[in-house]
Amino acid sequence: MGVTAAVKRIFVGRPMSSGELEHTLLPKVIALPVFASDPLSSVTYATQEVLLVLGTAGVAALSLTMPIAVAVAALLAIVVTSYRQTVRAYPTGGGAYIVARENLGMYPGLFAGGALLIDYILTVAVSTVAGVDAIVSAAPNLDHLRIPMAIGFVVFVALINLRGVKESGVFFAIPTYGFVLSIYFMLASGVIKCLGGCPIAESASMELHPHTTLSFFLILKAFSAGTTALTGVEAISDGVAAFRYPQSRNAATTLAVMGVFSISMFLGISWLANSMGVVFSEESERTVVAQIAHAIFGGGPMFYLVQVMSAAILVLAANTAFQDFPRLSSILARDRFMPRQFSNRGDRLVFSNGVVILTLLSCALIVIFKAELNRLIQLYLVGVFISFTFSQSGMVLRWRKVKGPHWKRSAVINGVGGTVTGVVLFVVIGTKFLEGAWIVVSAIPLLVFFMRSVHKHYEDLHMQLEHPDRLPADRRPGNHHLVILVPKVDAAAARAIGYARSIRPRGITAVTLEDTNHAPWRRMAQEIPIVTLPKGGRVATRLKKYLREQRSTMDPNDFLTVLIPEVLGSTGLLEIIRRPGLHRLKASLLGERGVQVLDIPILKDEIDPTFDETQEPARNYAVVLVSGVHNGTLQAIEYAETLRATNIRALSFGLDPAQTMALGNEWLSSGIQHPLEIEDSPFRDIGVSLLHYLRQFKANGKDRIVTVVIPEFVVSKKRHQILHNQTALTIKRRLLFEPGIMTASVPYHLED
Amino acid sequence: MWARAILPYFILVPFARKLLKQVSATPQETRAENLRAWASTIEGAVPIAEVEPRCRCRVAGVVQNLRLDPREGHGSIEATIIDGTGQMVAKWLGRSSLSGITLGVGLVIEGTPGTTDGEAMVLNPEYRLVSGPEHG
Repeated sequence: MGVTAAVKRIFVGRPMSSGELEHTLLPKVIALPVFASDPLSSVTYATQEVLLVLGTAGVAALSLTMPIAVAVAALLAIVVTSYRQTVRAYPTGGGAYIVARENLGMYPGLFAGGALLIDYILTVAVSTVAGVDAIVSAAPNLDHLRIPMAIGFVVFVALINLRGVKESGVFFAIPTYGFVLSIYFMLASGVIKCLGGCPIAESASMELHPHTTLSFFLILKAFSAGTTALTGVEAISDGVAAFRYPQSRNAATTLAVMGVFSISMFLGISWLANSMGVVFSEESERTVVAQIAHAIFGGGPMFYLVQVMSAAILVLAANTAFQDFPRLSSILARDRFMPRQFSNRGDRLVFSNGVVILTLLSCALIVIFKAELNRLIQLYLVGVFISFTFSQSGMVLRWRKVKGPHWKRSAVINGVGGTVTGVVLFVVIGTKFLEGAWIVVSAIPLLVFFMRSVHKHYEDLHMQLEHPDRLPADRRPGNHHLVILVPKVDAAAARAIGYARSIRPRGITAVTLEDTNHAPWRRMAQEIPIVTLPKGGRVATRLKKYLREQRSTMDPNDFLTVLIPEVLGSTGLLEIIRRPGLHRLKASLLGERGVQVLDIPILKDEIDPTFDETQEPARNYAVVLVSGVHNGTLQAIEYAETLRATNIRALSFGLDPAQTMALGNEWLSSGIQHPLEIEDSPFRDIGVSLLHYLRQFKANGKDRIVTVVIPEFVVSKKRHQILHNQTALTIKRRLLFEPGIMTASVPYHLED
Repeated sequence: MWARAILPYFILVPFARKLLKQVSATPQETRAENLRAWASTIEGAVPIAEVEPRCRCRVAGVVQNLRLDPREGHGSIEATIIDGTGQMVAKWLGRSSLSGITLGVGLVIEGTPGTTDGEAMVLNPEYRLVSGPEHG
């Protein structure tokens, strides 16, 4: 602990001096690596792309490298200045989508959002491929493994994000600052060496066979290739909410620091490349940065350090996209333009969905383009500049409307930014259209169309959810009927017996697949009849048939719950992947009308041979997860009421203050007779927040258990199913490995 | 030339020093510290950890948790606020609207705290909404 922190601890409560206050305002040193790894990393390939384009017109054209680099740097400065305005105006986060939607209308917003989504996918592909290039530069014999390595990186980053590792400061800081330091060290050493005559790059004598002449179009093309240095500036404006107080100022400062780093590194690398006579073509084995490093340091450790740091920051840049893509899609989902789960707060649910989709699409791009940076990069940038242009022009309109202090100056800054990026957008499309940009140009409208139809679907369902005719509020709570699925008579089955006994259901049976289970079952639970499902066909079909028979004799308001006992070996995803059958079964049961699914998991480590699991738990706390006051929630509460729980609590997580307040007020006036708790999820991680909340019950699986009741939506059209339930899945997966926690899925069926 | 090559390092020195301090703290710690700094800017507010029982005092914190009980007869709203030193529950009886109180807002409450189940609680305190450090 530092001296200041120790002093503070002694004088807790004493109002802090401004100096101390300043200390707490500094997490921007962490915010910089978290948000800026993308723009910083692009300096590793921006110069190279300029050289590549210019090189097609012969070595002489390379003398234009510096003027083009200066133009790109100026553009970067303009964009950073513009975005500093956005960040100040939107302290809660003003991504291009939000700014465009608020100031320009829905379709510009969707275009900006869609463009960004596509660009995040490209960021992943481009960054990992560039990272692989850096590695191949250091170890040329890995060249044939480019595609598997790039996909390996994508999957690695995806797994980290799927597992939900928190953004740890060290994780981001070391590669980012390590990269910045190593590049500055390389630049400084290079400049010093150049004082006594520049070292000559290995490629300086390489012959280029010009196939074009130096034209204005080629210069524009080289310029647009260099503008890759601008990608990722958006991330900071999107993530202002993650900055510490005062958020806007910190975000603006971080943007400025990022701009200074990017511009200086980009100009430095371009200058050295130019002075050392680096020539780059598609046949070049080493990246431009690797050639510079090699010329300066020889093959020494510093050369390898620069390569390792470049690869590391590029993988991190891919990680930034893995953070941004889900964040933006969650905002879009909140506005019902993207598939969202049962909860309003787009988080893990959207998160894992976003991660998987991002992984698949970026891997597909890597395979299609054979991990060739020069081809991938042709698709890049269209989205970035669309979002820049929309966002900046939206800001101009905003200034005109709001007319705050200095609004004219602000409007001019954003106006210049918007105009320049708009011009560059046309340059980028014009120069790259045939090489691949057409793919993106045509994909964006398709995506906008998709978002529009998703919106329509949700609006339809929203009407149904609120529909008073289907409101179960004044129904009498039904009776509970249970069916225990017994694949094996084990500790989990015993626990299911204990649980079932505590509910005191109206009717109960056990079903099994093997007659041999009957005898051990009767020894454990004599009062519960056990039947073997008739042979033939898939388990799911046989079980559903049995459930329908049961259902037909029951009152329509009654609940019919299938208890599914599971013994879990290891904790983690592997366990779920290992037993796909059971999970398919659960998913298929959810589609069955009038059937609820209750998971009774027991961990292998949790099994205590001296304890009789068939005993009723003394306390069963029911927690109903709530996303809004609607029919699905009301049904889940009614379900919880039939569990004979010790007490029932409704629980919601607040990510958006305004939405939280609306939910609270609605709850207070809804006539529901149960308290609602709304927990903050300060680090935007519902899984963690939920576990934290549940731990207060000290569930042990023996005398204290918790039943988490999750309302889920089931839609009749299969293709619409993907628009629902994803959060529930993620939450259930997390809860599976928590001792003493049972999860009940209460589906609410919707018509299309 | 030389000066230009060396200059970036000097920009980095204070940055690197603060970085070292920051990387060792968990997000929870830094958040708590952030909250303390914010709460200390509220005039007259006492850190929750230092609240004396039965005092008439003012504390400031960010709403972390809301508990809404709509039941007839014993309806209430509880807001748990944290200020990085501790947490305190503000409970209003017979209210049926949140009117501005929501997660993440800054809440300045003034009343006489007691203890229920080991938790500091103020019943029907006077309150004022202020902008919190996190949600503006």
